[in-house]
Amino acid sequence: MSKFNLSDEKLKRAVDNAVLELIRVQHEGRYSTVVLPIWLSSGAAVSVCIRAIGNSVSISDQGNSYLEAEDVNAQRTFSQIAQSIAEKHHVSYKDKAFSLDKVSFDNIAGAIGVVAEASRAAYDLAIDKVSERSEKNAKFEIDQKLRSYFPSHAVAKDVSIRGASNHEWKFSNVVTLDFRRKAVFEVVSSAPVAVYSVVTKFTDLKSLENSPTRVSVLNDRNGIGDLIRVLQQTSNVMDAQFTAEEIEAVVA
Amino acid sequence: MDLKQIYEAEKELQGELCWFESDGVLRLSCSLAIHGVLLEGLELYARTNVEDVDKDVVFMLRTGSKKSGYELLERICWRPKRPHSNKGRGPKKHRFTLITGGHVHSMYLNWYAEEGRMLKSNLPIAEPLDINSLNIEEVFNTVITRFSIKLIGQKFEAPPWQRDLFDYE
Repeated sequence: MSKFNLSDEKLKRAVDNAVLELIRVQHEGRYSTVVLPIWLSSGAAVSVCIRAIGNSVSISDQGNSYLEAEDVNAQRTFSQIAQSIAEKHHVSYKDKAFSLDKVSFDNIAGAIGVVAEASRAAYDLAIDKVSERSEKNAKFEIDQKLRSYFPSHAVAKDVSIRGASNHEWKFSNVVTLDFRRKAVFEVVSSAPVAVYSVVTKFTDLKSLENSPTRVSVLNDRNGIGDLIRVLQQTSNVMDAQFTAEEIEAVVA
Repeated sequence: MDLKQIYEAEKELQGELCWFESDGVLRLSCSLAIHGVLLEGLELYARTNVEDVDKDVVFMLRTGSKKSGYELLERICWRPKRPHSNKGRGPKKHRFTLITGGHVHSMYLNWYAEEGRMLKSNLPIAEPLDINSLNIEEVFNTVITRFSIKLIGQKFEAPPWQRDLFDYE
């Protein structure tokens, strides 16, 4: 004999309601809109629009992800990557929208999922690339600046050096001041984890017998707060907008 | 001035409040001044689709430029077509909430104090804002109050949506 359990029933109802909340459908005459439980990194849900054209349907994200990317000026990056995302998902990218045409009525569900997933993937990748680029830009600018103060052949970038532990570390730049003296530069963002990472690297270099001069170059002095004192334990610290006098002082 | 100070400062709206259309999107973009000084890239920006009559308008307070990229300080969504999820981010009471109505991606919820910057990914944390019952003019007043924007004689008008005959009563 089955036993009625109130909590089982409550759970079933709660889950059913949750599922209903997750997927929304709106029918507006010639087209329908489906909002899916797929979320952009901004938190916005992905929606697709379905239109019947003859015996098949057309499914499009209506350029919604592009528009969200545009809010933070990531639209150029979005456009650059959209085509390859489209190819990967076997959908089309045209007029800022991901779409699939001539989908049979039997395949609507699968097609909705693929268009929505392409839309999400393009947005998230564009946002990641834009953030990554700002960090790369900072490294590039420091490299260019060092080359304006020192002969170009004396400045090397992305250099690997072994520390006292024998572990090999990678640094943004190394300037060879004369044949033996070296100054190692590392660009540091204000993220605490970036500070800890640089301190670890420089601690290992500091223990070397002929330890090179170590310089932390701050991307954002205001944002770093009192962690600047942690950096000072193992390196000289200067702003990314350093002057000729400052660079001379730290490498002297 | 850091981003938080910009957000909290009294701002004056410069120029006219005019909607313009590009690629089927109606946009509003107005420069803002603090203590009479126009800060580079600081603007009140809004967008809505031409066909989304009386719904889905997004208002933003943002700074930056087309070249360097925009930094959003706060975003308000009125009658959004798509819900928002905070995923597992933000203070406990906001985590995993699904917001279907009007909401605000507030400065304070998205401010990463430790690093003095906004969270990445376009202000990912939002909280409900009871504005869906308001009309667009009332929403605009709510927006400028939240963004600490003072009008200097400008008048706000509803976006010139493309209404078809059925939209009129």
